[in-house]
Amino acid sequence: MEVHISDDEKLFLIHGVEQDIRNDGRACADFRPMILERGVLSGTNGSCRVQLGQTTDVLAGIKLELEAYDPIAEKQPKQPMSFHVDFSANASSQFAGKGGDQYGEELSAAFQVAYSRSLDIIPNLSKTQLAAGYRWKIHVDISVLQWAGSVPDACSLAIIGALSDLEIPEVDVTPDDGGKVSIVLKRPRIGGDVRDEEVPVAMWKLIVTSCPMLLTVSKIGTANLVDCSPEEECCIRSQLLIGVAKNLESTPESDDANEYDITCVKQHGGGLLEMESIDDMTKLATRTAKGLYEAIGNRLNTEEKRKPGHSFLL
Amino acid sequence: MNIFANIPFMKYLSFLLLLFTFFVILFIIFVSRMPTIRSNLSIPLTHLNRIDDVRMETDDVEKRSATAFRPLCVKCGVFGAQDGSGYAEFGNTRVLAQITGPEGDGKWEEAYAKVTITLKGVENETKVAELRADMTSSLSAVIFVNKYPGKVIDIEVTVLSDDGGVLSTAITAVTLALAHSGIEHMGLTASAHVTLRQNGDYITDPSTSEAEDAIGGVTFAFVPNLGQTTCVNLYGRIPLKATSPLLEFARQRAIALVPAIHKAVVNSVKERK
Repeated sequence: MEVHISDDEKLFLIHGVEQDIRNDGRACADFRPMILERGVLSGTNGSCRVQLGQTTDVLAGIKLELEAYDPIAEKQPKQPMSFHVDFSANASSQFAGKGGDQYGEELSAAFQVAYSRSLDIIPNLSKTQLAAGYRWKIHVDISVLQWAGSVPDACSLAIIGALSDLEIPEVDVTPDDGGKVSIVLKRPRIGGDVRDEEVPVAMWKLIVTSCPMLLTVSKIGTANLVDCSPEEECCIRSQLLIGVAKNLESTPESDDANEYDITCVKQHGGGLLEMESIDDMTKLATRTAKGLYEAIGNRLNTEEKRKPGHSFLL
Repeated sequence: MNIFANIPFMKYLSFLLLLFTFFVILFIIFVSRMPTIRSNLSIPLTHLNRIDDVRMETDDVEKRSATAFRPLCVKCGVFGAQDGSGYAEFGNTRVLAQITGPEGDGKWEEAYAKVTITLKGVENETKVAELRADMTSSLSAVIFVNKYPGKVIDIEVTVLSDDGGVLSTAITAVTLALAHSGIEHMGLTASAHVTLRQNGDYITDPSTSEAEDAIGGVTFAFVPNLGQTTCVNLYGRIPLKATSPLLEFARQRAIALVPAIHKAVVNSVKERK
């Protein structure tokens, strides 16, 4: 879907947002209604689908892999997550053929930057480090099925949803011959006459309350906006991709400034910016992130489990 | 009571002396804040296929102050055959930029120029995508694309060696190449890479080994004559309240580079004459 709007329509939109009223009735710092559902893909270890404003549709799936690496070459533990964003040609005609590849690569790189310190940010992520030379690798694959503005925001919500859905098996690590280790899935004995293979494997989950979010903040006229619709994206002067992560170590009564860390800022798609604008835009991003963390926290707590083996299409 | 007060000439002299020392102090402060500039351009073309050659390494820089850049070399116009070329070197990070165009490729027919960036010499694909995105964004902001309808501007960036701060070095090289090519743009871009340590110290233009204990950093590029930012690339994990002082520090450092870039452009004009 390509958007063609006239100069007068653009002017109307720009004057509107400068008065803090957007064409769909939202204020500049408001998000569109969103849908988040987990456990939508049975072939993954964790999955999530996020729909923003009924039109932007994003699907995130996580696959786990037991990875062997060289502990001598890698002294510092590496961040175990890798991201791949794929734009479906069905999302928009601009992604047809190889059109979405470049943007997808850029977005994956941005997520990689935003999550580069996730070992410090997510409290129990270091548990993916099993033994010297072995770790769980977390592959996050995101497909953008429909495009109607602010894809990075939808992707980051989908990533958090999928990470919260991700179940990682507990393992027993025992030393083996030749300085190696053997890794065996942990099956807690529940007693009774059950064969070992039928006992379910113990699983653990990541704590996602502090996962980094990648938000777009756009400058239209003199106003800063979050969650832009396609029409609004035509009027953007410049855009920042801002990664915000909650700082769990800060005390709750301290002010907002201590509560959040910035993990990534990228100017995106050209355009010029004043220094003061960058400051204002990061502040808006953290304010937005605060609301989003709350909303996503509530949703993750109250969401009902989907019947296993059923995809969201059924 | 000034003992020379009764002799008019001596009074005058003491005043002059004071003024002189004042200027000397000012000059020293100014010089110490200026980046060290290596005047000789030496692209070791014979060693290009052996980047990790020991001869490529500059001597270890002793402890620098927090505001000092690594020894740098900037050059506007390296090759005659290209439409534009530029070279920038900060310590052991060396980047060469070449521009072909604006010219028609027979396919592009929009009312504005297409700017494409090809990166060479970087192995990691994620890194390539990241660098390309930042550079495309930064460049498309300054080039007047509407003045070249139906044309393609092809920018080839070759990273000869990477020792930290590739993005800022590459932006500097490209801005020099752009100046050399004569493509109309809003102005030169000055860019600096700065990292932040856990204890709140800043490091200007760190090499890879110097940046090891950093908690995060930023590459900041802006157009000095407009005072507007074209590229911000912040990474790591930086507390919210530390971000704007860090950006301001990076901006100050980028301003310190402006004279060096101007000089390179002026030199290239002289050479052409």
